[in-house]
Amino acid sequence: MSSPLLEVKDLQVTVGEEQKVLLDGLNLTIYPGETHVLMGHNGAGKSTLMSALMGDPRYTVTRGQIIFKGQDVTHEPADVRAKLGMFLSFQTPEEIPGITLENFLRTAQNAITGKPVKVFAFRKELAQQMEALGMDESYADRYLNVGFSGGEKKKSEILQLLMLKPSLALLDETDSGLDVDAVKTVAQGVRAYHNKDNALIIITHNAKILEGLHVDYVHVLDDAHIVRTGDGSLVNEIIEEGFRALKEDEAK
Amino acid sequence: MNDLNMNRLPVPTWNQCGVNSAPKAAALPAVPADDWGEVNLAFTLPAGVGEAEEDFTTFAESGMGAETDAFLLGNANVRSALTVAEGVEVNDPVQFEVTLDAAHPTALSVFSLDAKAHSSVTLVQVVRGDAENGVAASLTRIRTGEGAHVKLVQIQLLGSKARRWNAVAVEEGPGAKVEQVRVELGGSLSACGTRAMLGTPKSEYDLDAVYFGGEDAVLDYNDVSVHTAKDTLCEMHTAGVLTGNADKILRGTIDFRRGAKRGVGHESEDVLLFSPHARNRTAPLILCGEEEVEGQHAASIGRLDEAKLYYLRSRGLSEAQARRLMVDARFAPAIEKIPLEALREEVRAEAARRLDETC
Amino acid sequence: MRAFETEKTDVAEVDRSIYDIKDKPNAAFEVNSGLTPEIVEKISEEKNDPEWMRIFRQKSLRIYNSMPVQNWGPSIEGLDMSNIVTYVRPKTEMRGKWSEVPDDIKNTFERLGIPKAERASLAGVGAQYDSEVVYHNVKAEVAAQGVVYTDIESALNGPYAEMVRTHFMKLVPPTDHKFAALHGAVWSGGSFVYVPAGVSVEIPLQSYFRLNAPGAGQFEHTLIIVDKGAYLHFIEGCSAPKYNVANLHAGCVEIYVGENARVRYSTIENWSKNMYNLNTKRAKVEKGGTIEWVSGSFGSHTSCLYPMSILAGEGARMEFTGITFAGAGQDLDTGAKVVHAAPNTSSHITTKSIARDGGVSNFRSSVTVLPNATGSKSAVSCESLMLDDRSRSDTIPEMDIRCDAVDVGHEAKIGRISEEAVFYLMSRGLSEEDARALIVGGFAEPIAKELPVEYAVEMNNLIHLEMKGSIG
Repeated sequence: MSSPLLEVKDLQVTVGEEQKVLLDGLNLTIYPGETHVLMGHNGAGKSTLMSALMGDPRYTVTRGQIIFKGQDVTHEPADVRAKLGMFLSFQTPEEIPGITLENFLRTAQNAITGKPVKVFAFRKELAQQMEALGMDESYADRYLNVGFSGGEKKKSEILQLLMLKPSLALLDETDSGLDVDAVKTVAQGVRAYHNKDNALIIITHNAKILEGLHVDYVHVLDDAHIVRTGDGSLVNEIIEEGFRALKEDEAK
Repeated sequence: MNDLNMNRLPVPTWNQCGVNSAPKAAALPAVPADDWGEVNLAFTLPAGVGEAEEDFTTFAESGMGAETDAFLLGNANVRSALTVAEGVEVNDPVQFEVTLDAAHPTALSVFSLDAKAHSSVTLVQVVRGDAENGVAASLTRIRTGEGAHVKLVQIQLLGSKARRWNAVAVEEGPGAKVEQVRVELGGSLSACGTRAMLGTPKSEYDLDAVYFGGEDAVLDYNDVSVHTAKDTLCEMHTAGVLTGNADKILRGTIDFRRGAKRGVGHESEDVLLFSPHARNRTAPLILCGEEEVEGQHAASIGRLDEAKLYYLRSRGLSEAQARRLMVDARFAPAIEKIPLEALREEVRAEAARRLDETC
Repeated sequence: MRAFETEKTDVAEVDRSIYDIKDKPNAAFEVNSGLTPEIVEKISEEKNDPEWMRIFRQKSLRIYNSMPVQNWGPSIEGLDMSNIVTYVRPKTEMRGKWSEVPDDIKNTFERLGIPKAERASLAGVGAQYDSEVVYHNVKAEVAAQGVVYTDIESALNGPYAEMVRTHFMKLVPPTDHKFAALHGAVWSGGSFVYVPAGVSVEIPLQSYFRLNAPGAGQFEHTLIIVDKGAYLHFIEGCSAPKYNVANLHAGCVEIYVGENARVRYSTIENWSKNMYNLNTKRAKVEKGGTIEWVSGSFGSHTSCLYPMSILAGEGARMEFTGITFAGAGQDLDTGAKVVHAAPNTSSHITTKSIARDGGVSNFRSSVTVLPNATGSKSAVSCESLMLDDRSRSDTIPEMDIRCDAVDVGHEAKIGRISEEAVFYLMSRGLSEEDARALIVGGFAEPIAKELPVEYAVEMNNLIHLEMKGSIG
């Protein structure tokens, strides 16, 4: 087996001056080619984990390590992680006025690869990816996420995923708040992205985004810990029976 | 050029705009050779409110400025220094009512209120009546302890001959809140200025002001919220109507000093013009020496929206009714905060009457 | 006294080397410091003023000497007028061809990219070097349309002398303020533009002003007259080398916009950071005409700049789009003024202010609607961005409405860069510095898109340069 892409060791994450503990003693190992799904109640710590993995300054890692591609990134800023190949699809993507989507993607691609972007090849790829996502080409000239609907914002995130080609994609409820067609498009985009060299961590409540993906592991988070890990079948079990059944299970 | 030292804009601008300070018409009354005479005053002091042994010795200046404050402190013919003890919540409002008439044309008042920690109280000041050369001037100083809540409700229903000065100074303790409701409907002069010092964390100052200016009235306002501590908040909102030859200046300033982290200030003015001869001047300032703040102001000046007016008339309202309705809607946020039902109704009726008379 | 006089070049500051190349002062003529009737008379003699201008200068000087300095706005204490050499003329006569301009002067211009900008299809260059126009060229096609673009001294004695006389400092009289009076007394150099009725000048006319002698003041006068139904875009760019003596710029721009004519006046101001920029700009707009101001203020130690529009004819319009970026040691007080003096006029003011590193970036405005201006509309919107807690940004608008049939709106906002937005951009691989620069660039974008592309690029570069080293 190849070496792990991501190793999370005994992670403790706190927020605020009073150091409220949101994640505690969390361990997770991900290899290239894998798809992991995070499930759990609202407030269980799923989004916190993703934000902490990406280096959100609002959270503090008070114990443990995040090792990405063999490099300890626990205290690295977000751009260093992004350059190493990490990507977070935000639950609520920021609106940045004055910067067009195209301009932004070019700037980001340039920042990540460290090489000047070939304008024509870039334009061509952008147009193709946007078409595949059913985004009107005019969106390329609109300011980044400004005035985008919920669905458009999520498509913009997946477009960034496809253009930036990270080796680890963290998808935080990318399928929530979308209509049926939009979920299909987004799921298609995720499938197009995924290959044997990259990995996915997905937070989802309804599993729609998982369509056509092979789920290797499902982790259930509760009360700052991973309380159970299983294979893909756990997804449907949880959706059908809820977390309560699961907990009772555990109690036995 | 005018150089009256009253209602000064905290940061001056072009002199030719004439907004840097109050106009000559707002000059304080001349001190008489003998004395100011008697005041026709009625008041109600509910249980829980005590009279302070002595007035404040030092206090921040009011929005009208130190000169006006000193004049009132030196000349007052009504003085009241009240205190509410720690933790006491006074349910019924304290009421002061001054009526001007030929025999009592002058009321110069100084009100002080010391609301100790976690107390709450409402102070209602009503000024009414009219008199040739009438004067109704007041300085109100409010100090709040930690977590205290004070509501100051000022209703001015003077006739068209009297002149009015209304200076307010506020100093707040941590987590305290002072709400001011200021309704100015009459007087040949209405000059007001509040300055709130938000020098402790989480203190809040709210102002809901309403004015009506008709005939040749001069209206001159200067409201300032000074934020020096963290998490301070101010909401300053004014609605006004100008008719006849009324001439009004509103200065509204949110002053974020360095250290006022997470300070928030919102300010707005909505002016309805009902006469081609009225003059409206507005200078809404945001001064900012701190990065982590959120400040906003908005002003809207114009006539009633013709489309709305037409819509209301198509539903059977007369023009006067429609006008009243639209003015009511703008005045409502302030008027609804008046704690006494009868007074609330009186203010509504009085605003409607003045509107009908002058439009 | 401000600290700037002793201040050394700040190493953390933008690399201004390209702008800061100084030629050795090589002036043919300099007046003594300080201002007397004799000095002003000498200027008249040197410039061969017509009699009325001779009298006008002396009158202006008397007003200057009797007027107090403004009691509002930024301090100009650091400005010692007796220290300003008002008139420095390089050893060169008017040149029509680039090849004939002396080498040292040419080098400076080349560093600033002037000839290149000209090649890039600019209609003409009236570049002011020190106080005298040294280089001037109007492209044949513009002249063929009947457009006059010349230095103002030539115009004063040429076929348009009468037109200059009837318009010169009629919009900005010397009594306007102390520095307008000073300008009236010692003005020198500048441009005269006349666009005949119905002529649309498709390519922008550009002038590039700069100061070069230590302590030299610059008092150029720009007079633009655009006749009925005509169109003109005039671009003014400023850059000056850095000296450690207070420098003063008290120029004056007067624009007459004829009936149904349209004028766009764009400025990117990037004076060196010891300059006192006390410039006065004013436009009068006739019936159905439009004035559009686009203004970027980046340089100067202190600026007071509020282009004013007088909407004199029915249906006249003005638009003002401005950005001001103040860094360490700068006090930039900018904004706009408008007077609605006719029915159905409209004004639209949109500004952005940025303050960082202890800089002061203030917005100041005045909107006046006169009693006859029924049916007029005005909208003012200003937004400020604070980049740290050592800087200042004050918003000081004023509205004076003397008419009821109007629609006047005003909104202002102040805030800082959202940390969430910074994190979002960093999660896409941008460094914190780049993320912040990108957000500030985005904040400035609505202004940048009003500029011709080469200026927009220059402005973006300026913002990025200014933002460098702003972290930590």
